[in-house]
Formats: sequence, structure tokens, C-alpha cells
Amino acid sequence: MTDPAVTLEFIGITATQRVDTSSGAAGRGGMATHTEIGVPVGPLVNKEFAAELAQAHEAAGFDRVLIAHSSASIDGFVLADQTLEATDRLKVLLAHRPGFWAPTIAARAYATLDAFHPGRVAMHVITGGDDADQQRDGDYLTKEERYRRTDDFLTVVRKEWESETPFDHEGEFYKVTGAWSSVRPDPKIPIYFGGASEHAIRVGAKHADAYAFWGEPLEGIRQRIAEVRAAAAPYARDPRFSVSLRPIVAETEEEAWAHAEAVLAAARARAAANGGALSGFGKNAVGSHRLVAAAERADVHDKRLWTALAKVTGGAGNSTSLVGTYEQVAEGLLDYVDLGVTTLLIRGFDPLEDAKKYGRVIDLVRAGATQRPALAG
Amino acid sequence: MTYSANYEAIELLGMIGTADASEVRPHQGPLIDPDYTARFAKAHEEGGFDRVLIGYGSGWSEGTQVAAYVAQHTERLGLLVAHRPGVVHPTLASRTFSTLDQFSRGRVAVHIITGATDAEQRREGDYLTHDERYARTDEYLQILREAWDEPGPRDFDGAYYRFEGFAPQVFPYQDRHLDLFFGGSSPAAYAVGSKHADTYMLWGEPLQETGEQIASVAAKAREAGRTDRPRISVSFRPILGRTDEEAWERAHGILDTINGEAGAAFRAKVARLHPQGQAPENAGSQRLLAAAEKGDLHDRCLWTPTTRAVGGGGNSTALVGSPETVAAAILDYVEIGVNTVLIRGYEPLQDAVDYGANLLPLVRQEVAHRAATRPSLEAV
Repeated sequence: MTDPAVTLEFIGITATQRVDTSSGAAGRGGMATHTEIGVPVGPLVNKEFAAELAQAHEAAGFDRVLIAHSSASIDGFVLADQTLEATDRLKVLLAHRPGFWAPTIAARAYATLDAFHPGRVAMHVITGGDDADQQRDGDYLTKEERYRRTDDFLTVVRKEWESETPFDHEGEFYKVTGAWSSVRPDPKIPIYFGGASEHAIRVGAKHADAYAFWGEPLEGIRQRIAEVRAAAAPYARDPRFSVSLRPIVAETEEEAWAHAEAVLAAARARAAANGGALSGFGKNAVGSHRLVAAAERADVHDKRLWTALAKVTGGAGNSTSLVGTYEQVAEGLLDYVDLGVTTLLIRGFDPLEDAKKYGRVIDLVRAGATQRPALAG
Repeated sequence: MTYSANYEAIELLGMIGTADASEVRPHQGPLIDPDYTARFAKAHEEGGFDRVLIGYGSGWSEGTQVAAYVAQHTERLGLLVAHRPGVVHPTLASRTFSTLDQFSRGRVAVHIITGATDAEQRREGDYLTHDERYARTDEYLQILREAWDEPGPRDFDGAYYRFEGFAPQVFPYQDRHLDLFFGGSSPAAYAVGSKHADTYMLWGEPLQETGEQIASVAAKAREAGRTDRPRISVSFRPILGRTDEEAWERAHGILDTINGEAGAAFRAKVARLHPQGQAPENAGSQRLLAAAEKGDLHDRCLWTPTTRAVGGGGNSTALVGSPETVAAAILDYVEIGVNTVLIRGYEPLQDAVDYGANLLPLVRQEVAHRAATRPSLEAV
């Protein structure tokens, strides 16, 4: 029997607006926030599209979908409920930036969502790497302070989830007296954590059930896993690891690379049309720097990790791709599994079509994983 | 200055919770029962209620999540989500309610409650004083209103909030006006609420005291430069019977239950909010208790011993009688200028069904009748 803790997990991504990624759309204005190459079509909040995309993920065999967050985005909690209502077993990974909700109410909001959809909710803690985007919502702390606040925030969140009696807390950022929630999730809501700086690792190691990385070359991920494991050991924690990638798959390798070049050209065109930058994607100071550094060394790493897009996006968002046939991309993902990665966050450039395509990749990885030592249990 | 009745757009509100519980129904089982929540909301929709209030408490389920769930299980029912400024940053809160309004296709309103007691606020980390809380609410509501009504980017630099370049992409459904309801009966509350509220919510006091509160709200609205006054909502706990006698028999039974063992759990909960032996800090509860001190029965059928029994905790005054009597009592409030009535029962689900079948049609019929037979347009 495989230990359930190391069962492979596939995560996709939700969106609420249709995009047109056809070449004919390239000249039109507008910027979709969830892909670098598309043009938004129709309303920002398209209930039917959100449901269709969630159902496509469920049908393709995804376990979970990420609900992202920025200062301009729609509220993720509401989208999470929509996603869970539209599907039967798909779970959500709901991103949350500490600092804008009191930890008590944030904890109860997650617990309430989980009570309506038992066992289908996880929290993705993003501390925020971009000062300007933090300030749009009124947060003026420095990055280091933000991570200290995240630490304090998660401490209160856990108490609010777990304490059966009223509790007091007096931390550097949060103080409560007599806090107590009658809504306590059981089983616990998993905490995913992202962030590449030393501050991030220090805090994440203490709280994370899963630690998430952007898709760096294998050697980088190997180092990062070692760092987080070392930092987590004093807390007797052994988080699972997640890597985010943007696979570009086709029937033949040539087709896949041709598509990758088309993505790059379209992203460049969109950047030019938007004054030379692709905005609207989450930056993460250290993580973005690492992606750009990798991209500057070479466009292709390992067998087929393609990083050219990071040069256009400035490393904002997860932007690195595995390019190849279905079998080749599955093999590329399994190379990460060999390092101890058990969660794979894969999202494409055309959210709906790619989610459907990835079903075949997921099947191949699951089949291949049964022979992997990391999952032998 | 008096306010004559406005028969147009009379709104009837109910209230839902996520589990079967009230002063007379000790709660058992999980705090969030999804099936019960959906049934409770549907009972209101089928009964013809315009909206339901979803309450706020530091130890309760989180209201926007309850609203999101209920929106998925109803078609047209309005959702009035209670919200406390100070626990969520207003720019995020504005997006939360806009998103909820988008997915529910224009069914959301927000009920602003600034906080009842210091102890309850501190459970969520808020250590401001009462009047500071209202000053913060003033800023908060300005930020919400602008975030909903006007595209950004914008900066804000206030005493409580500061941000730069806020430019949300999401706005209320079809750019409609998202309504703010507001509660609070202290001088600080009147000043802030009268400025921002679309509907000002009061608990069910006798007609005279309600008239005084309406006048206070109207005066403050004028001071704030408004040409209209907020709509006024009053909340009651109707106890219906087929006849007045039956209703009174039921009312005394409910009072006995509250005072007995079954009510002990609820009284303990109220004691957590209002520490044992102390008078309530909030002006609204103080006003209800003051009315209750004057007598048990007021006006046509407003009954206040239930308020005394729970120490003034919240909406707790009853209208007791047959549907005809209670409908007439509700119309008495409409006559002094009340626009919205919130009713919820002691047997929450059963009473919602009962109100929908027997009380709401009478109220609507009588409102329509009076509107049609009104002699002429009176000066307002």
C-alpha cells in the first residue's frame, strides 16, 4: 500500500473569464490576468465559464485547482464555493495573503467553506513579494516583516481552528482576547506555502503541510527541498513538495516546440502592446530572480525545461514549461517526482483547452509513478 | 417634522442560520448543517421574503461563505450579509462583496455592524474604543462605496486606512448600486450610519421610541448633507397563533422555555457576550431593556418580557397575535415611516414557513390596499 501522505497530487487553476488565444486575437487590446498570451473575452466574472473550467479539471483527473489572488482579482472564497458546487470531488487550493483579514475571521471563513464542502479545502499562503501590489490593499510592511506577520497569522489561524476553549494570543502583529470558534475543521485544513527567500523558508518550514516551488531546473529543486527539509526538521515537520510548471504538449516534439515558439512570440506581442511589460502576474522577489537567472543561463534545461518566457515576464508568475510529447512531458514531471515532489501544479496558456489535454499527461505520470522509489512507500 | 407612510417598496426580511437553534431550541450537532441551511433559505424564498439576514459573531460560521452557499441553493432571494469593519481590510471586503454580487447576479446587500461590546471585538483583535470604532466605520464605508461605484486607481490616506493605486477589476453585478444597511443606536452610530446607510436598522421598540429614532436618523442625515433619509428597518420576533388567544398561550410557553432549562444554553451564550451581572454595553440593547422596564405590553401587541429574559441581547421583542393582529401591528410601523421589517421566529424554520404562508400575504395585501386608497399625495 502506498502511504496516502505521498500519493501524487495534480493541481490545476481556476479562472472566471474566457480568453481567446488564437493568432487572430493578438492585435486586440486587453490583458487576461491568467495567461500571458490571451485576450479576454466577455465578462470578468463568467459563472458558466468558471463552472466549465472546473468540470474540465475534474474530468481530466486533477485532484485540486488553485484559486489565485492579487489586489485586483475577484474574491477567491466566493470562487472557491462556485468551483466546489460545480464539481463533485475536485478540491480547491485557495490562496490567501496574510495581512488583510484578521486571522480569526480568515480561519472561520476557511472552516465555513470546508464545512459546506467537507475535506475539499486547502489554504495556500502567499506572503506577497511585490511591495506595490501589497500597497494597493494598504500593506506597507517590508518583506521581512511580512513573513514575521505570516508566522504570527498562521499561529492564530491554527488556534482558531483547533482550540476547544477560548484562547488569548499576544504576538508581534496580532493580539486577541478570548477568541474561540465553534466552527473547527476536522480533519484539518492543509496549509500550502510558497516563497523562495530565507525568510519564507524559515516561516514555511514551521507551518507548511506542503511547500510550493516554481518550476526551476532539477538541481535547483533538489537544493530547495534539502533547505526546506533542514529548516522543518526542528519542528518535527516533513512537508510534501509541490512544483509549478506550464507544460506545452503536442503529438510530436516538433509540434510542441513550434507551439512554444508561438507562445513566446504572442507573449512578446502582448508585452509590447502593454508598454513593454506583462503586468498582473504575481511577482516574488527571490523566486522571480531565480527563474530569470535560470533563463539567462539557457533557454532549455535538463531534458526539456523551457525558460525563455521568464525573460519576457521578468519571472513574474510561474512561467517555465516542459515542452514535448505527452510521454516526454510525463517523463519530465516524473524526474521531479524522483526528487521527492509529490504535488504537481500544471497549468497551460489556454486554460480550458490545456486542462483537457493534461488528462493524458496525468494518466501517464500516475502510471509511471508506481515504479518510482519516492512513492514506493 | 413627521414622516407619513411610504407604501412603495416595503421590504420584508427574514434571517437564517446554519443550524437549527434558537433561544428555545438548544443547538445540537454540527454548527454548520449544509442541508438545513439550504432548507432554511428555500423556506424564505418560497414564503416570499425579499431577503434574509446572515448574522455575524466572532465564534460563528463566516457569513460571506454562508451567503455564497445559499446563493447557489436559491434563485432570487436577497442576501443581507452582516459585516464588521475592522476585521477585513476594506479594499478586500469591497471585492468580496462585488464577487458575491456577481455570482449571485445582483442579490447582495451588506449590513454594517460596528461592534456591540469591547469583549466581543477583542476576540478578533480589535482594541479600539466604541467611538473610535464608529470613526473607523466612517472611513471604511467611504472606501467601500467608492470601490463599488467608481473605477480606480485611487489612493486613500485616512486615520485608520491608507493605500495607493487600488484598482479593482470587479464591481457589483451590472454596475448596480450595492445597498448598505447599518445598525447602531448610539449618538456615534447615528452620525455615521445616517451619512452612509441606504437602510438603517433598528430593533423593535414601541412606536413612540421608534419614531424618536427615525427622527434622530433623519436629523443626522440632513446634517450630513443628504436630501433623503435612509430607509428604516425594524426587527421583531413575531409569535403567531390561529387566534390571539392561541398566540398568547404560545408566547407564555416560549417565555417559560427561555427562563427554564432549555433556555439556559442560550442565556450562557448571551452571558459570554455581556459578562454576567453587567448591563449590556450597546445602546440598542439598553433601549430595549428600558422599554421592557415600562411594561410587558406596548401598543397593539409588542411584548417585551422575552427581552428581559435574555438580558436585552439583540432582536428579542415579540409581536404576539393572530396573523391579522401582527400584520396590523407591522402596518402601524409602516404608518410612522418604516420601510422594511425583519421578522424571525423562536422556532426558526417552522416560523419562517408560517410567516410566508399566513403573515406576509396579509402585510402585502394591506400595504397595497392602503397605497390604493390613500386620499391624495401628502406633503412629506
